[in-house]
Amino acid sequence: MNAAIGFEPNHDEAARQAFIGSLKGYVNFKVESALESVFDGEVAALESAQAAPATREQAEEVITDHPLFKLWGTLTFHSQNLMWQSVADTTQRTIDTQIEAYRALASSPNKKGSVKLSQELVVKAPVSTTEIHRQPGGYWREQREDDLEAAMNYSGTVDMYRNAKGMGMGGKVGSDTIGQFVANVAEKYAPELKPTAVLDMGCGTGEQTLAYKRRFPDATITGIDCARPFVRFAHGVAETAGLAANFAEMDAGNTDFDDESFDLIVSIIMFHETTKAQVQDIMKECWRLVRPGGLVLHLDVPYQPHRMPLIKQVTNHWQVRHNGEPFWSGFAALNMKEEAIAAGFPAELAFAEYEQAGPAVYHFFGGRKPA
Amino acid sequence: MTTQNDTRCASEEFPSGPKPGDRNTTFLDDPVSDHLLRAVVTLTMELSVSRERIKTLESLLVQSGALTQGAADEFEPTDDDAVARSADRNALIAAILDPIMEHLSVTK
Repeated sequence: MNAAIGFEPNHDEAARQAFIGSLKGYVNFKVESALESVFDGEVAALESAQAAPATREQAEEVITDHPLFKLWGTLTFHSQNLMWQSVADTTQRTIDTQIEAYRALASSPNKKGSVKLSQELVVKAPVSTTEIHRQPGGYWREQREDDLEAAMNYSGTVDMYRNAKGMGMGGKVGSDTIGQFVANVAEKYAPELKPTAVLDMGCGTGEQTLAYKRRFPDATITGIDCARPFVRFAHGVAETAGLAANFAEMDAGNTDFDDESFDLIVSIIMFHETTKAQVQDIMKECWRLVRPGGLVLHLDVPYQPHRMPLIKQVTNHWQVRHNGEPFWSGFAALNMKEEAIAAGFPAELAFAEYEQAGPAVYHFFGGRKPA
Repeated sequence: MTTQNDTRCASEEFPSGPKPGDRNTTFLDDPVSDHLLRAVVTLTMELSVSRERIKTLESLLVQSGALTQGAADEFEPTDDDAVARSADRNALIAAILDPIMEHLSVTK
């Protein structure tokens, strides 16, 4: 038997997970759209135009006591509970064989890449303190030797989550569509750059990291993450795919790499799970690590307040309180071009843009180091 | 690997979130309504899973030649089978509705 790492639901688990994807789509589109109409109606019914809400906090005053808002809240909360329960069924049924497969792959003399765990790494808040997205146990806890559980659960939800938010790209579990999208944008922003060393920060399950190996087969690919079960899983996923990539348990704001080690540094939805201080650390680290002529290109959620209607700001901020997203609103309030400039990137080479892929829009930010 | 709080993180940029392990926060005026609604959604999920499994079995039977397409729709139970099915339906309805009916049947 060839050892293989991956999230493999059986028939009924897949049916359950598909239902939850549909339920989330219903709540995120139909219920939220009804909520927008109710909000507009409530605002129109206010006694004077001066009383119309101008800030998220004022909009919360208008809508959060409305029965439809409460219904949206309870359905969103429950769909999240169901989602984690449903993927846990698959994980618990397959975890022992997955760990065996990981050990076989990680100890194989023929393996293409590497994995490096750290005894010194300090996992910081909010990852250390919060169950991000209310994932049971969070990202980093280990329940058993060579544990993969947190990463398997995450892997089972990530496309369900994206598709239900209208930000999916039709990918199935384990596909690398978002990484391919980032690679496309990298080629658009730096057409002359032929990456030879790529760093994927907050690489998570490693499934997207592999997109860079597929796109730039001659480049050295490195993925880092602060959650150990994910670092193992990423190594297993890469070896299962037969692709050379190196993974390490490391803090993106404080890495072990030498100055100017990479010519392309990327991340996918990492920053909104950090803090303002960590954003500054990570951007400075990117400036230190990127080579002259290189590109730093981060993808994150496009929910900056100037782009969002007030009611969407209210529902997004609800995620802070009830979905384990402590920095969601804090990240959205940052000007990431200014953060890049503060970290050292020249103003004319720093950027914060929006890029579309199908129905999905994502925020891209970073900069280039002068050649 | 260890963990520690990042002391540079001001509380205003890092507001409190859900407690680890919390699966029971409610949002409606009557918390019982939250739980009933969630139960209905969960049951609907299981109905959806069961329907999908039946569809899978039907497709496999058609593929194997054991059934023709639409045979289940044209199926007529025997008299004994119909009686047994009726008894199953009645038992399921009673199991769901008897407790509330009996609770409300108490005379003063």
